[in-house]
Amino acid sequence: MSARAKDLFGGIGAALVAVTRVSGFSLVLAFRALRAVFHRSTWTWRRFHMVTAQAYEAGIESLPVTLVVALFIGFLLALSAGVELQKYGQQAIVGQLVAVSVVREFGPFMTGLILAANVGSSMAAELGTMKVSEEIDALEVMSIDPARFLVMPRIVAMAIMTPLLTVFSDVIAIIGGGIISMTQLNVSWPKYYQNVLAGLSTKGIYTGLFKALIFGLVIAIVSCSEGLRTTGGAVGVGRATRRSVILCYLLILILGYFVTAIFYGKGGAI
Amino acid sequence: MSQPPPGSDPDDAAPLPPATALEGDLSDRLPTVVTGLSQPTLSGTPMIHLEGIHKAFGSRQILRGIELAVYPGETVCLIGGSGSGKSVTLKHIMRLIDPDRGKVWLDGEDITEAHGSGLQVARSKLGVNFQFGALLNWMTIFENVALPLLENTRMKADEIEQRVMAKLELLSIPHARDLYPTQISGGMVKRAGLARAVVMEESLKVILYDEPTSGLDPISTAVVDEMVNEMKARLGLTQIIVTHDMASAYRTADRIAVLQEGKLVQFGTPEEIQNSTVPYVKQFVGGLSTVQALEVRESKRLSKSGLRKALAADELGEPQLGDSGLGSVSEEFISSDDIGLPDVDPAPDMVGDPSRSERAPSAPSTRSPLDPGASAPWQAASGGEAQSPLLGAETPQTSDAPPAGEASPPDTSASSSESSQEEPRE
Repeated sequence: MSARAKDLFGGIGAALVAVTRVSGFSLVLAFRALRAVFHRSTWTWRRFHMVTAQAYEAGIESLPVTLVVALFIGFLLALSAGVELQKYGQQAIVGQLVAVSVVREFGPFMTGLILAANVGSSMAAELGTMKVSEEIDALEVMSIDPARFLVMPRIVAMAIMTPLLTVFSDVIAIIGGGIISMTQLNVSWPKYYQNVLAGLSTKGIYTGLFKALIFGLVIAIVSCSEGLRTTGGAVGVGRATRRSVILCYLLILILGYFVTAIFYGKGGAI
Repeated sequence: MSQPPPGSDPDDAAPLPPATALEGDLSDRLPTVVTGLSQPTLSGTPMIHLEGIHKAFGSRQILRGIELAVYPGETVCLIGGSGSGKSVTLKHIMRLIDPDRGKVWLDGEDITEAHGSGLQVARSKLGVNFQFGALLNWMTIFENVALPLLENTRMKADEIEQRVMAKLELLSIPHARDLYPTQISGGMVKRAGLARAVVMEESLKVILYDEPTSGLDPISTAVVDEMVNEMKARLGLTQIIVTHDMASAYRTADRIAVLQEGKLVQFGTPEEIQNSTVPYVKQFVGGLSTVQALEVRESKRLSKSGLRKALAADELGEPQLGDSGLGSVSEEFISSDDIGLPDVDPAPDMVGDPSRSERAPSAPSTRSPLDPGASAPWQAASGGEAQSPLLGAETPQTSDAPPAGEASPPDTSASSSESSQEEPRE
């Protein structure tokens, strides 16, 4: 075997080992944090307060930007689809189209991306800074499990707030679509509203919310995992933050596809 | 204080030194008095025993067969240049790092493979004072100190409050209870870190300090050293201190272990270290010129890259080459005169007082540090309203005290503990 081939296989092997190690660390962390969720002794008032603090940071502080983005997503969808449908005199069904695409796909997707950039990066940077300043070591020496103390409140907060934010962004995006329909496509609000209701299905709603839940968990787990694996001082914190955002984006796209495939794909209807 | 052979009679250990006391204006904030310093008994089962520890990170070998036994009540300083493996050694004791080879014993138990509840029990015996305090910035000082109690015990809120305030008072920072770590000075952060380290007192047996005086001015350094001695005197704990600061090591240590490139090159009393014949130790303690230091390194047949690193480190002012401040130990040594304190007996450890072994033991403190009414000795000295002369000191002055080496004639009998001729086990 030539030296180049050896290098190639060596590189592939090293990459696989690294991916396995990172995945393993994240999964074990998630398992420990989720186990703590169901442990009775975890739920003291103090812990409840930590969860609400994280929920406030993740949800309330992200709400304005999420709503603005959702409004413009609604504008965009209605306008681009409505102009094409208008050619065939079918602009009335724009409400149906906006409702289906927002509730099932765009709502959770857009909320996930915003939270990954806004909250996930902040989690990775915060835990990364704690890691390089030995605060995580201090917790371990005090027999305080960082998975229970730091990761669990973040996971619970994200699991609650991501679907909630998704509901808000769905509503605002649909309202945005309605504004465009009325002002630019000459579709009345009642007609638009009727079409929206026709487009909504229970399955579509729970698929979207399930996606949002998965995205919330993924953002919290990946960001905390990257933060806790930080090494190398301030530069390491920057790297961990960047890595966490990139990984979250990739996983949101990939998992979003698979969830849709499971619910709506060929032979995969749940 | 050479390590006696195993099985020697504990009664043969050196007697307790007398209490030292400082008089004059004392502070309600800064510790200045050490009472009841006791001599550890260097026999029986070590509190901490590192047995042939090897550790590598990738291809870089950090520890090469560290052997270290620290006995109950003993204060040991780990010194050595940057990258010599001091902090890694400390992290092995905390079980934050697993050794590649060797064993870690804590209080007679092998904790090398401990995990789960076993590791939790082992760690409950440890208190750690991290280099920069490692306090959680989003919690107040009170919440930080209370954290181990809140997470690991079922104590009631008022009991926790009482315990935490006792610790904050012990370390003279009760006024900082509602402040955040970013709102207080570095020295206070270190004291708050120590308060957190000792708050789980039921199980606590060992305190580990990672460079407790780094980045502090001379007065704060002296205060932290007194704090270390205070912990020993009042709580009788075993202590390991990682430091670069030789003056600090002399002030606090019963024994000093010198690490070089992952090997223990000497382990002995401060006097033995001061009078060492081991080139690296001499360089570290006494300070050699850069050229001399390089000669020492050449004599040890270091690689060219090692020399380059050493030169680079020297340019950066790191202590490997001995001329970056560590060389003038006797000048750095802060006596009570330096900082405006009245004349008192210095701690015997500090000057290697040859009459130390003949002094009568002091009466140990009988008040529990937990007792909220129990004031620190520097407060007790003037009815709890004491003020430290340290506060009155405007600037530290150059020491007029004789060099430690002069105060303590070389003890030739002690040189047996030098292990430079022995190759550590690989």
